[in-house]
Parts: sequence; C-alpha cells; structure tokens
Amino acid sequence: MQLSKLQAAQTTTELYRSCMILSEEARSLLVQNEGMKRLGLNAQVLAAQTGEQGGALEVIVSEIGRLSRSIREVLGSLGEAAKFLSHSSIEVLHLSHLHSSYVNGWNLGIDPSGSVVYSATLESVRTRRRQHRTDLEQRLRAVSSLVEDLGRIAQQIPPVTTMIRIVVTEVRIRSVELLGTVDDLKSFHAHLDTKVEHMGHIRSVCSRYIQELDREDSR
Amino acid sequence: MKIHKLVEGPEHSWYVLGRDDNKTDSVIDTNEYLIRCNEESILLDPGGTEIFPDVVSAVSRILPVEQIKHFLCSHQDPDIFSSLPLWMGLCPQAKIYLSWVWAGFVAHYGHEYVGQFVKVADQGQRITVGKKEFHLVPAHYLHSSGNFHLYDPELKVLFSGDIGAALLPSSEDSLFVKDFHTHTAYMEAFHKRWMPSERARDHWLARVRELDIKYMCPQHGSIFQGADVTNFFDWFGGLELGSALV
Repeated sequence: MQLSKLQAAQTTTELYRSCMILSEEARSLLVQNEGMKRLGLNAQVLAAQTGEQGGALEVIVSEIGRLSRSIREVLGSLGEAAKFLSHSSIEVLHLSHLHSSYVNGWNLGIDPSGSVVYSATLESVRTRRRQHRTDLEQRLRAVSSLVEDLGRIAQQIPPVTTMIRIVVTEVRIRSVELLGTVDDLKSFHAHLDTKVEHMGHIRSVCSRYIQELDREDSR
Repeated sequence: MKIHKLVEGPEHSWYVLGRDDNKTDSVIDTNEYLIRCNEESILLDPGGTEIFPDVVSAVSRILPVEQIKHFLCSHQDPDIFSSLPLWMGLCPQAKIYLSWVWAGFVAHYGHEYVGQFVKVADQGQRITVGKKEFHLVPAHYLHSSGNFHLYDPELKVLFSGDIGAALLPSSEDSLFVKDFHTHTAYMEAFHKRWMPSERARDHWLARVRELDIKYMCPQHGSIFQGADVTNFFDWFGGLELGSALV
C-alpha cells in the first residue's frame, strides 16, 4: 500500500516536472527564434543596400520571414499547451495525494453511518483526477502534433540555405554576410532538430506516466 | 488508532484519538480531540496528512464524518492541520477557527477553503458548537505567535495544544499521567526548547489558573487530570524557558 502510494506520488511529480521542462523548452526556443527574425531583417537590409541586384535576395528574405512566423506560431501554441499541462499536472498531483489518503482511510474502515458521504467524496476525487488525466492526454496529443509541425518547419531551413548559396555563387553579392547567414541558419536548424527530438521524448515520457497512473487507478 | 471517551455530559462528550499503531516512527505521535454535541461536532487539531486515514477511520466509528461542523487549528504546525484539504473535501461547510496571524499561511494547505476560515482575534472568542459554548483561550507565543487553546466550562476540560506536551518513550503509552514526577522527564526538554517566553507563560498561567479544570489535554503525550493539572501549572511556572538556553 505504502509503496504503491509512493510510486504514484513519484510518477505524478515526474509528470509535473516533465511538463515544466516542456514549457521551458518552448519558451527558450521562442527566444532563439528571435535570432531567426533578426536574420530575416539583416537579409532585408542587405537587399536594400544592394540595389537592383538585391532582387534575388527578396525571395530569401520572404522565406526566412515565413519560417520565422511559422515557428513563432507553433511555439506560441506549444507554450499555451505547456501552460495547461503544468496547471493540470499540479491538479493531478494534488488529487492523487487526496485520492491515496482517502483510499487508505477507506481501507482502514469507515463506519457504515458515514460511508455514503465518504465514498461519494472518494468517487468525486477519483473522477476529477481521471478527467484531468484525460485532458492531459488530449493536450499531449496536441503537443505531439505541434512538435511534428515544428519538425516539418525545421526541414524547410536547408532549402533556404541552398538558395542563399546559389545567390552567392550566381549573383556574387555580399558573399561574406550571406555565408554568415547560412552558418547561422544551419546552426539554428541543428538546434531546432535537437529540441524537436527532446520535446518528442518528453511527450512520450509524459504519456508513459499517465498510463502508469491509469494502471495504478484501476488496481 | 485508539479511541477513548474522555468525559461525557448530558448533551456532549469528549473523545481522544491517539496512540496510532499504524503511524510510522518518523511522525510524532499526536492526540486528536473530538467533541460531540448531539448532531454537531468539533475536531481539535485534526492532525497531519500522514495520519489522516487513521483519524478519519476512528472518527467515523464515533459519528458520521459530515457531522463535523467545526475545526480548531490551534496554530500553524504541519502536525496540526496539514490534512486540511482532506477534511474539507468531506466537510466543505465546516468552519475553521484559527488565529488571524496564521490565516495566510495555513491557506498554503488548501487556499480554496479560506472562505471557511474564522480568523480569531488575539483576545480569543467564544464559539458555539451545537448548543454548547466553548472558549478560545489565548496562548500566544506558547509556542506559536498566534496560538489558541479551547476550554469547555461545563465539562471543565482544557485543550492545551503543545503546553503539557510530552515525548513519551515507546514503553510509556498511558493515556493519563500516572506519576507526575516521572512524567516531567518527558516534558522538560520539549518545554525548554519550544516555549520561548516566560512572560507569555506567566500570562497564560494567570489566565488558566482562574479556570476550573478537571482535565488538561495536550496535543502530544498523556492527559493531566485532577491534582496533576495544578501540579503541571506549578512545575511549568518554575521552568526556565527561552531560546537563550540553547
């Protein structure tokens, strides 16, 4: 009994911790995406400075801007989802604690005269906890889809770097600055890939915790 | 957990719940007191979350849990009322009497129940449970800066919180103090360390010596009855207290 209570508490605490990490990952990526926006602005300035030849850069500017906006959009939704997950997992933590204490009380014996109110309270806590877990599971599915979106956006970065290389080779304008942009984009891409992988991992860890809690609940 | 009916009047009774066999050794043993006044009851210092299952199970053997309409939270410690959200889940309409000093702190145990808090002013107050009146007696700085005891003028019982508390060895689990002199050995270190002010002690003694007390019921250890109540007052009055001793 005690071990099971301890495991449930640990699992729920880990679930909460994972949700917090997910939230932090989304927040830090949002900050880094500002760098992407800066690259777009720099390219825009270069295009303006280069005059007529800068026309070739306009496509790049527009692509970087589009990617940056898409990333910001996905991260905004991820941030919202993470906020919900943090709040809901605290509730699950709290309700799990109440639940295990009520169950222990029930197992020790509640006199029949008070058992109706007691079992109703226990059932209400159980239902609320189940509902929160269902909400968590649904929101985690949304997170999965957002993380996949982010992965797809990340895959659109290499074509932009290729476009920049073509401009550098063909048009031969502002090569040093543009190659610097290519390096920055490549590094952001690698970083985004890592984050996407990490967030995907956290998401599956959260699902596993929820499954464990479901199993615990059904015992 | 043992249940003992301490004293019974025509319309209300005191019960003491304690000596919990299921409790882990790392958790200090506590006494919970239940006063049943017909269809309405008050639970004094309901205890921590760790012992909630045993306390609620014991209480349910005395009365339907929803008949608890009042809780006293004598001060803020976790062994006093960290079980607040568990009890309030069962008795959401119950009032919680506590010092105004601690309202914002005790809310950390369950902020959604602050609407049920009755913030008691420093001078204390009289409360009614069922048709019975009880006095919330100030015991500030003994040991907490906002601290109340409860006095029952009809059955002459004083619930004295941490005053009179004793850390009993496992071999000594008597509900009542058997030999006062021996018992002081279990109280002395606790009172010297936890009670910080001789001035507060003297105020409290002057106040409670005015009361007619048959039973003095601490939150830890054995209950004092009859002459041992006065024995305790005399012993406590002569004790050197305060953090300076550390």
